[in-house]
Amino acid sequence: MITPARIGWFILALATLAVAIGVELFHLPEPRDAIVIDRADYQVGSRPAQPVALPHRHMSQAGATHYSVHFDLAAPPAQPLFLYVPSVNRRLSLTFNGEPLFDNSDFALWSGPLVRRPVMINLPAAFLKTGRNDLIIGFATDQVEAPSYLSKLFIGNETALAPNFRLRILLEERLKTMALAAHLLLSLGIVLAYLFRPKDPLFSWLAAAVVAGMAVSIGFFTDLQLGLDNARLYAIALAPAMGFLFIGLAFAILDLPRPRFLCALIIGVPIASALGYATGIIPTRMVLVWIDMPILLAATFVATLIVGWGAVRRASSDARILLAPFFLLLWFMVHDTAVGTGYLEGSLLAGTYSRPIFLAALMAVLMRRLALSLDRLDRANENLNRRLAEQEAELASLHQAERAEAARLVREQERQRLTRDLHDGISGHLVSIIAMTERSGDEHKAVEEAARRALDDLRLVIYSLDLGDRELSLALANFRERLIPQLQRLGVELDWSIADLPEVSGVTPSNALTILRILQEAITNALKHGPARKIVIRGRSADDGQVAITVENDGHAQKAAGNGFGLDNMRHRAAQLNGTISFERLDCGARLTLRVPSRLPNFQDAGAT
Amino acid sequence: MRKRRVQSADTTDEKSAIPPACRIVLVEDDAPVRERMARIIGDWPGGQLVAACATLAEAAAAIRDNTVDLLITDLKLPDGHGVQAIRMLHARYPNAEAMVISVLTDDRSVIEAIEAGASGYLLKDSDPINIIDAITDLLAGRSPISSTIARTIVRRLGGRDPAAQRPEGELAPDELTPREMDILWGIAKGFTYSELAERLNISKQTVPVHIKHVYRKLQANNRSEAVFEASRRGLIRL
Repeated sequence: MITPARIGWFILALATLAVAIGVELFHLPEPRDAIVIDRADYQVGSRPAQPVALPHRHMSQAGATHYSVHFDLAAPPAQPLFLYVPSVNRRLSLTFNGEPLFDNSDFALWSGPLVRRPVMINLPAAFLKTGRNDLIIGFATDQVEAPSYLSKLFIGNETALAPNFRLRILLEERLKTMALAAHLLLSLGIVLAYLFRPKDPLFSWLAAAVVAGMAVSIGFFTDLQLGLDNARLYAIALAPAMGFLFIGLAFAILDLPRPRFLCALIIGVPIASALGYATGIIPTRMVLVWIDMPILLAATFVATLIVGWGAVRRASSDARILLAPFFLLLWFMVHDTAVGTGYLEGSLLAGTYSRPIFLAALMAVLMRRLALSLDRLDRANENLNRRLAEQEAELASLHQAERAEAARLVREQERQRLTRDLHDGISGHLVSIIAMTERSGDEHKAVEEAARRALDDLRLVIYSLDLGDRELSLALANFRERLIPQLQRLGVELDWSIADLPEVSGVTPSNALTILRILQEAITNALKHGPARKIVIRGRSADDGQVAITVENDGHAQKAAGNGFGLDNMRHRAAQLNGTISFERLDCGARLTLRVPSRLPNFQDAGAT
Repeated sequence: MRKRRVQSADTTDEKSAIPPACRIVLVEDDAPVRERMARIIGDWPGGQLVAACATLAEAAAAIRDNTVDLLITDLKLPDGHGVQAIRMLHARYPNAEAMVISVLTDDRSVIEAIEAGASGYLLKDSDPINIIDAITDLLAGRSPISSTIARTIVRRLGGRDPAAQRPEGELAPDELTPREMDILWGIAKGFTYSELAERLNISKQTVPVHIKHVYRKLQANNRSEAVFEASRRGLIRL
């Protein structure tokens, strides 16, 4: 399965290999139109000179070293002549036809046994001779850690030599300065990351590694003739610590626990080697190098193996990103060691360039982790915000429910109080009136009727008070229970069905009472004008989404029904509910239809009319 | 068990020989109303008015001194509450029936009376024929119910549709059958007995019989003080 991620990893692996091989294959071109000197007489101290081929390496600790070369000039040159040495790792002293020359490139920024640098010196016209010219190149006596190296020499004019010389300067000096600057900058970032988040093991190992790396680099390469020669000793002694730090870093990247002895090695080995050298147990710097450098190499190798294991077995993206620079670091170390000790041909030491690559990879890992953390943070925030909104909504609805409940309780209490008062007072008296008038026969029939109507209306009001939303059907059922004895008394049959009534919302005691009053009036009218023997009441949903309640009677349709006062009153009440009243005459009887919206409007002054 | 059975004026399903009259004690403090009720009961051949009392004390004496088949009592009395009269009745005659008369069939006081042992209720201003119907129905094992009372009972039993899952901790209508719950729900929703009978595929006449069973169970539930308290709380919460 080919995914963009896989392609990315493939490209990274290819690029790494290309860089690794490129170091080996890379050779700078030689200057053309110049006299090439590839043979010299080599003399160490007072020993006899011997002919050697250039480039030439030699491990020498016994006195000054001289290379004697010569070249022939057919005629005095038209332009100034220069000596160009592409690569040398010692300070030079030059004698040209018996006259000393001053090497003004001696003050290069970087020098030292592991640093190659180019030299280009003007051969003064005054000293030039037609025919054979002699040049003696002397290497200062030095306590060396690496063999001396002298490349081929070139004699030519500035035009022929300068481009090559500049290129060498760029590679050997400028790029190394830039690499160091990049190292400093990235180290600063990593150290800051550690300071801001010291509890993260990755950050602490990274910070320790970059700081130690910086010390080693400066110790190795700074040789500004400032009397810091001894600094290099400590840099060499510190080098094994770097290797162990790499191992710790490899563990930290994979979130594995670090072995306890690692810290002891990091601190112990450099101190032991420095002390060993100081006390004479390690006799020379050369021995120190041969002890500490293999430790660095071996530790780096182990670290690379751990990262490689993480990249393959654990499929850790961080380990995959870091495997490339670890591999290049190791390879450059091996390469530089081989070149430096003469086991491998090559003029370029690559170790310096591996560090920015390594640090860039570290930055990539850190940035990736940062991005992932921010992503997680975003998701956590979204999650929290969503939950907060949910809880707020829940709280709001609870609040709403509580308020509704409180209002209902108040209403309930009020209703109870009112009911108790009415029960004990008016309604009791009305029942007494009914009882008394009933006994006296038809004489007080009108009073009895009035008292009954008053009582019925009182009940209508009281029962409406207890209604909740969506309880219109309950209100109608209450109404029916009041209606049955009324109609029974008159011998009128009631056919009632509101089973098809859709649910009505927005029901309040006020608007329910209004509906009941309309129905009461419709029935009263039907009984008065009918005279009906049967009343049919139906609840159903109307075509336009409204709710329709019909009151049908089988009495003779009265003449004044269409525009009577009662109908106007009903229409007025219906209008309060955004409803309508329609009245139609049937073959035998009449039908009144009340239509109201399925969501009733709220109003306060029901029953005002 | 009732000792006597009565035949109502319009009940067609009980065609037995005329049984001895039902002995009735009436308790009502308002004189005109008491007299009206007494007259209506007196006119009814199926009943025998043992005593018409104006106070709880008179009622207590009447229950003590007479054999009573039916107590018809007002709730608010000058020296007490009708519920006390119902308790006295059942203490002495466990099988006697009790009926509440009220100006308003206010669900709260009526349910209180039902819990005390009443299985019927009447509006004081009901027509004579309706009063007699209510008495005969009650004696025949049928109880009335209004949608408001049904709603109150349903709420107290958990306030949910029987089909819905009831959360734990809520008062469970353990003793009510699904059929009884269906009937309560239907009435609370405003269905008539006929509609209910059609929907539940039962006879219209059996609906009040189920209602009476429900009342008996509420009364039985009420005997347990814990359940009573729970239902009280339920009442307050709803």
